[in-house]
Amino acid sequence: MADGKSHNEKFEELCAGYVLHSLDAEGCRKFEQMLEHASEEEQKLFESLASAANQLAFTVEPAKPTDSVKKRLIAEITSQKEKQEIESVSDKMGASESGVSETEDTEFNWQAFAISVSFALLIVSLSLVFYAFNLRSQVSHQKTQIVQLKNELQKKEELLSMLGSRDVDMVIMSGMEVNPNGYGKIIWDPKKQQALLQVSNLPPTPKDKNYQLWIINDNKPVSAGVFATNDKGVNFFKIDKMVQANEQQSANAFAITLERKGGAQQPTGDMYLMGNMKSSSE
Amino acid sequence: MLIVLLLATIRKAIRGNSDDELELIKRIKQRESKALEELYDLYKRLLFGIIVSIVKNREEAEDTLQETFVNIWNKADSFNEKRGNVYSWIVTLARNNAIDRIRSKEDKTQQKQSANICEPLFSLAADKHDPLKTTIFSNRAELVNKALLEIPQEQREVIKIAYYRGMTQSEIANYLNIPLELVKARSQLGMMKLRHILGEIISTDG
Repeated sequence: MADGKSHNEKFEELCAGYVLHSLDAEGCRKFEQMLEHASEEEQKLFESLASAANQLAFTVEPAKPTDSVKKRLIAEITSQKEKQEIESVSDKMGASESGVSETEDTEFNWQAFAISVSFALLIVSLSLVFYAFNLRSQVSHQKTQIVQLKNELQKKEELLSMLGSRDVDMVIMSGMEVNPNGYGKIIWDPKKQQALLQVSNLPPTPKDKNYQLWIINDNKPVSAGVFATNDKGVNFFKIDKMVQANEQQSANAFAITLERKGGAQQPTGDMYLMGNMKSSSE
Repeated sequence: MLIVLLLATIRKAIRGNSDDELELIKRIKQRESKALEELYDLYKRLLFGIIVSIVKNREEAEDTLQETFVNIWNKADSFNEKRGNVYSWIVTLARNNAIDRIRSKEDKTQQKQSANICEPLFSLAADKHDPLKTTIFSNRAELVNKALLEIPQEQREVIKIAYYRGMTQSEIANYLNIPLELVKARSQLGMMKLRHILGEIISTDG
């Protein structure tokens, strides 16, 4: 030993201090190291010295603590027991939960993830396609509506334009025996050789038939065109080029008959409307 | 009832582990709080006396006593009957707790000011109505005190300061104004003699 003491002497010295609890931290550490490798004889020495030190307790006057100490002790022990029971239960629950989560964490299912993402993308794509299709259909429908409105507007503009013209004639046509409620008008611009035909309350045109407009001059009917009415019964027709313009200027009547599809050379069917130029001007 | 418990305590201290005491520790290991209560009733007066002698304050001594039994509850698994008896284990725990408490306070000044070497007089004033108990304790205390008296005064002084006041050897050296090595030597020689004198008791004490 560095201080000249034998191992046994050092053991005894430290042991005496140790059993009296008078060693500092370093001394305690040294002795406990020695005790770990102590011989059987040294172990016995330690035990007997500890026992001798404990005999000193009998020289101390026993004293009675207050009853509150026992109560506090029992309360603390009870509290510890309850806490341990709660921790034990939560540990078990935690273990079972962590078992699941560990599996999830360590074995992340990329395949399932990829399938989920693909499925989500498919849904999004289909939704977009459906939306685009719907949008396209909507645009198409709106385009048709725009065209229809444009046509209608154009017709109205033409009608207004023709009505605003200085030299127009108008012939009012009345219903005949086969359709007494029918009526119509022809607004006719002789200079531009254009006319507007308006008919009302005419029965819808059968599929294999057409209504045909006739200009009658000196009892000679000349075809001015064919048309078909719809279910609404109110129809405007524009006639861009009136046939036989020279003769038309001297036309004295207009008539509408129901003819075969495409029209006839001469009127053969029932007459639905008729208007007299002279009578209308009168 | 108290007499029976006290007799049991002393008998166990003298004879080593009894089946009853070991049974209490076994039940404590099984987390039976009733067993701890029984052990407390058995040792509270002895341990409280030891603790009070060290911490010198009843309130702190009561806290230390409670802490000691909480330690017993929590460390019961570490008790090995082959390495010592229950009495020695519990007394050591109580002393260690008391000494740790005064050392943690680091109130060295106060210790020096009141450090008349406290040789605990064995006056059982509190137990004067229990003649039998007084006699038993007196006999045991007398035996140990007699053994102490056979030790040279300077060695006895060091042992008493260490045991009853919980001072470290360095603190004792400062307190007595002697070299540390001398404190170590006196402590060693004194304890070896005490062991020799109390040999018969120690051999049955386990």
